[in-house]
Amino acid sequence: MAAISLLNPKAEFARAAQALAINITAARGIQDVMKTNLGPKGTMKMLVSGAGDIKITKDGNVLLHEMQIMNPTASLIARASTAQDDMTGDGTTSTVLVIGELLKQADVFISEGLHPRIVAEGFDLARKKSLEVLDSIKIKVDVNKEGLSGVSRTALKTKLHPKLADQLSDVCVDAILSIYSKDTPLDLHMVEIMEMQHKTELDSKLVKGIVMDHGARHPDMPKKVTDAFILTCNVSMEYEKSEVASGFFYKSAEEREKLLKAERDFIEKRVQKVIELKRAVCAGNNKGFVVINQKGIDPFSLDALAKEGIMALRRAKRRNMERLTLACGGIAMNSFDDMLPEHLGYAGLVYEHVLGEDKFTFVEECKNPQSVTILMKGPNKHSLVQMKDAIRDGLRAIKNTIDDGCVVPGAGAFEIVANKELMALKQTVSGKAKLGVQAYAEALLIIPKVLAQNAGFDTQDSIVKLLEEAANTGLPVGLDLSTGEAMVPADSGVFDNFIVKKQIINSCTVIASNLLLVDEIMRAGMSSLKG
Amino acid sequence: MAASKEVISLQFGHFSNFVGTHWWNIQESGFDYSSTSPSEINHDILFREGETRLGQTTFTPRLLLVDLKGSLGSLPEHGGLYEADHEEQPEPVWVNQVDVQRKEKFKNNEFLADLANEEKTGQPLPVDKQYKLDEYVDVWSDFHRTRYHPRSINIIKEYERGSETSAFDAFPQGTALWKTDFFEDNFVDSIRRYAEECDNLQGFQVIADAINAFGGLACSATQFLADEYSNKSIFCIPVGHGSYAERLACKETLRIANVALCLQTLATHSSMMAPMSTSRGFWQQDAVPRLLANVEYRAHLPYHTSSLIAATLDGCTLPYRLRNGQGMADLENNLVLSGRKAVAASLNLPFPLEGNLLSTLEEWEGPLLQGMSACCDQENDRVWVQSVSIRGVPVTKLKGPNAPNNSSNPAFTATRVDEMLRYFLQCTSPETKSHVFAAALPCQVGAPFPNIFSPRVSPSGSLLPDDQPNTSGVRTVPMLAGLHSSRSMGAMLESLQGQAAHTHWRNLPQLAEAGLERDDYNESLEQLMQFAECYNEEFEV
Repeated sequence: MAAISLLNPKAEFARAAQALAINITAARGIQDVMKTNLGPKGTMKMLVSGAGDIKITKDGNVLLHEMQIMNPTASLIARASTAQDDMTGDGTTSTVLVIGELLKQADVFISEGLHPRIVAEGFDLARKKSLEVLDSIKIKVDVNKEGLSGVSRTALKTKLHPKLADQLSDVCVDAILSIYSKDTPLDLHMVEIMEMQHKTELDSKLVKGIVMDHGARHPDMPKKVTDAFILTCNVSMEYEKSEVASGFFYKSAEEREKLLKAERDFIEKRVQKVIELKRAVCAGNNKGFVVINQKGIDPFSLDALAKEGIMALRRAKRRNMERLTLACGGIAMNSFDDMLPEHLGYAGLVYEHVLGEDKFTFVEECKNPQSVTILMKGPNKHSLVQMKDAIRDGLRAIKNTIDDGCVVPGAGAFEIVANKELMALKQTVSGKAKLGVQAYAEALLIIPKVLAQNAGFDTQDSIVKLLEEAANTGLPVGLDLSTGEAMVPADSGVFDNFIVKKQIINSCTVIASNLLLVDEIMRAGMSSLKG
Repeated sequence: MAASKEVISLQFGHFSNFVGTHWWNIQESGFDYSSTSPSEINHDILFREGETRLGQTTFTPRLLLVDLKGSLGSLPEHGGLYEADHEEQPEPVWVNQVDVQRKEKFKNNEFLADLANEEKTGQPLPVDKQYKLDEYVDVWSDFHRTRYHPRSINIIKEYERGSETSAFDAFPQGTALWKTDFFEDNFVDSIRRYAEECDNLQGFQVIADAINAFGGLACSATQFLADEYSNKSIFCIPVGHGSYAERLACKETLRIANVALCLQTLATHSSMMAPMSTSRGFWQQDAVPRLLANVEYRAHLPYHTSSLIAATLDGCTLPYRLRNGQGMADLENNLVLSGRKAVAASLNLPFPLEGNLLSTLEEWEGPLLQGMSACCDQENDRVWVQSVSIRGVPVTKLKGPNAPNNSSNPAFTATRVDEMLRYFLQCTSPETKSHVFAAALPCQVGAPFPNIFSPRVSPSGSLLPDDQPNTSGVRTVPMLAGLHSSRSMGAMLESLQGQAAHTHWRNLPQLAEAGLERDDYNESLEQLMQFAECYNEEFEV
C-alpha cells in the first residue's frame, strides 16, 4: 500500500515493475510513431487537421510539436528530443529511437531480475566509452564548400526531396560561406530567410544581398534604382501625437496651432536633411538614392522624398538594420545630425517585386555582402513551411560543423563502431554492470536497423553485413541505402554533426537511466493514469 | 492625405478571442453596402483592404490573435480566405510514399453551415433566423463570421487547450513564451507588417485574458509596443469570464496573483486600460454576475458574457472610430489624469428609449450606466472624468414634437444628441467632466450575437408592453457605454493588491515554477499599491 493512498484515497499509483512497464510502453509507443521517418528513405507524414490545415513533414521535431501527446512519460521524452533540436538543430528522431531502445534492451535484463540501478551503472560506463569512440572517429574538416556540403546535404536529405535537398544544401553552404569570417563567431541571423508564395520549390535561390517584405509606399517613387546609395536609419519621419498638443502648455487655439506647426516643421527638417544629402551625393551623376527606415514615414514626408526621386521604405525589420549595413556597407543612423556621405551604403540594384498584396524589395549587387538572403519559393504555404524548417536545420548543421571543426561519418557508421568497442569493453567490466554495457551496445544499433528497414532491406541481414565488414576492415562503415551493402560514408559524403551525436549519447543515457530508476508513479487529483 | 487613423488590434487568450469574435461580428454587421454617403463610423480604422492571389479584393481586420493549440475548431489556421481549398492543389511528388494522418473533419454548426452556404451560392444569411448556439458553442470560431487575414491567427504550439499536463495558467509562463523565436521574430514581424501598411497609425487595442498566462504574454507584448512604437497609444482591455469550472482554492489564489501582475505591468506600459468583466470580481470563484435590466444572460457561458463585453467595447471605443471623432490619444488625454491609467467601463444595453431621448432622460432614475469593470459600480462613485457614448438615437428622436424651441432650458434647445446627453450628465453629476459622443446607428445584435434579451425587447431594441412578448429575436438596440476615471477603480486595485499580498508565496508554486522570483513578485505588488494610490484624492492638488 502506497503512502499516498493514506493521504488521498482517490490517488492512483503504480509501483516497481508496473511503473517500469508503464514507462517502457510509453517510450516504445513514441518510438513506433517516429520510427518510419528516420533517414533519407523515411516516409513523409502528412497531417490534416479537422479544419483542413495541412502539414507535410519528415522532421521529427515538427512532428513532436504537432502531435498531441497525453502520456506524461512520452511527453517527457518528446521534450528531451525537442530540446535536442533547440540546441543542435538535428537528431530529434534519433533521440526518441535511442531512448526507446535503451529501455527495451534494459527490460530484457530487468525482467530476469537485474536491478535497474546496475543497468544504469552499466549505461554510464557505456556512455563514457561511446564518447571516446566518437572522439576517435571524427574527421577534421576545413571551412570550404567541399568540407561543408557533405554534412548539410545529409541533414537536408532526411527532411526534403533529394533533388531539392541537393539544391538547398548548396544554397545553405554558399550563404554561410558569404557571411563567414575567420575570427568572429557565426551569427545565423545574418542569413535572412524570406518566403515568396510563387512558382515552385526548385526556384528557391540565394540572393547576395537583402530581400525585404515591403516596398515603397508612394506611387511616384521609382520601382527600380540602379547604382544606388543606401541610407539605413532609425529616425521617425512621422508626425505623431505630440506631448505639447495634449497638456496645458498653451493658452489659446492659436498658440496650440503654432505648437503643432512647430512639431510639423521638426519632422520636415529631418526630411530636408535627407534631401540635402541626396542632392549633395547625386549631383551631376546618375546615381540613385534609397532610404530604408526602421521607423515610420508619413505620407507628407513620402511625398517630399518622392519629388526628389528618392525611394523610401518605412518600418524595416529591426534586424535588417544590421543586415543592411553588413550587406551594403555604411552605418545605420539614429539621427540625421552630422550625417555624412561616408555613412551611406551602396547597392548596384534595388528593385521592387509585387505579388498580390505583398511587395518585395530586392537590394542586390552589393560590393562585399556579409549578409545574404535565402529566398524560398513554393506554390503553397505548407511546402514553404516545410522548406523553412529544413533550411533552418541545414544552416544549423553547417554552423555546428564550423564550430566543432569536425564531422563524424554518418549512415550508422558511428553506431556500428561504438557497438564493436562496447562489446570489447564488456569483457573488461567486472560484475553485473557488464549487462548494462551490453544492453547499451545493442540499443545503439537501432539507428542502422531502422535506416535499413526504412530503405526496404532486411534488418538482420544488413546489420550482420555491417558488423562483419567493420570487423574485417576496421574502418567505420555505414549502410548504403540504395544498395543495402556496406560502404565507407566518408567516400560518399555522408556526414553527421559531432555535437549532435554527442548530445544524443548524453541526453539519451540520462533520460533512459532516470526512467529506469522510477519505481513509483502516482497521480492524485486528476483523472486517470491509463489515458 | 487619408483621414483614417489606423488601429491595430491584438487579442491574447481564448476568452479574449470570444470577446474579439463578437466585436468583429458587430463591426461587420455594421457595414452598409447600399448607402452612398460615407458611414458615420470609419471602418478603415480597424479594417484593411487587401488583395488575394487571385486578385479578389478583401477587407479584413487589422488583427493579430493568439490562442492555444486546439482552440480553433473548424477554422483553418490561415483563415481560409487567401488559400483556396488545399485538396485541389497538386502535391509535390515525393520519392517515398506519404503517410496521411487525417483527423475527422469538424462538423459545422447550423450557423457556420449557413455562412458557408452564403459563400457558395451568394444567398444572403436569413435575416430573422434564430440560431440556438448556446449549447453548440465550444470555441470562438463556432460563431465567427468575419474572415481573417492569414497573418491574423497565431497558435501557441507549446501548450494545449484544456490539457491537464501542461496548463498555461501562470503569468510568468506568458512572459517566458514571449521570449521564444515564434513571438520575438514572427509575431513582432506581423505587427511590423501591419504597421508598415498604415499611413497614420494611431495606436493599438489590446484585449487580453488577465486571469491566466496570456496576461503575461500580453504584458510582454505591450512592453514591446511601448518600446518599439513609442508615441503610439496602447489601449489595453484586460478581460475575465468570471465563472470557473474547477473549484479549487489554489486556482483562485493563482488567478488573483495573475490579475495583480497583469494590471501592474499594464499600468506601467499601456497608455490606458479598462478592465472589463460581467461579474464584480472576475478572479473570484463565486463571483456575483451583474444584473442588467432587460438582459437575461447565462453567466457560466463565455459565449454570453463575452458578448456583453464586446458590446461595451463597441460603445466606448466609439470616440476614435467615428468619422468626425477624436483620436485614441485625445481620448486618453481626456481620461487619464495624474497617472490614473485604469478606467472603469460601463454599459446600458439595451438603452430603453421611450418616445424620445428628452423624456426618457427626464424620467430616468438611478445610475444611467451599469458598471462593467470589477468592483466598480456607478452608484455613489466619485467620477472625475468620463467619456460616454450613445448609439442608436437618431436626431428625430431627440425630443417630442411639442417641446418649446426657444425655452431658456438648454435641454429644449439642444439640437444634437450628444449635446442633450452632455447637458443631462452635467445636471446629474455636476462635479464630473463629461465627454459625450453619439452615433445614430444602433448596435447590431443580430445572430450570431446571442439572444440574451428579455422578451420585452422588440426587434429594434425598444421596450414592448409586458403582454406582447417578442419572439422573433432582436436585431439592433440603442445603447450607452462609457469609460470613467473614478475613485472606485482605485478601491478595486487596493483590494486586489490586498488579496494578492495576503497569499503566502509558498501557496503560489506555479509562479516560482515558471521562473518568477519572490522578490520580483513582491516588488510588483508594491508598485501596484503605488499605482492604486494615484486614486487617492487626498493627494490631489
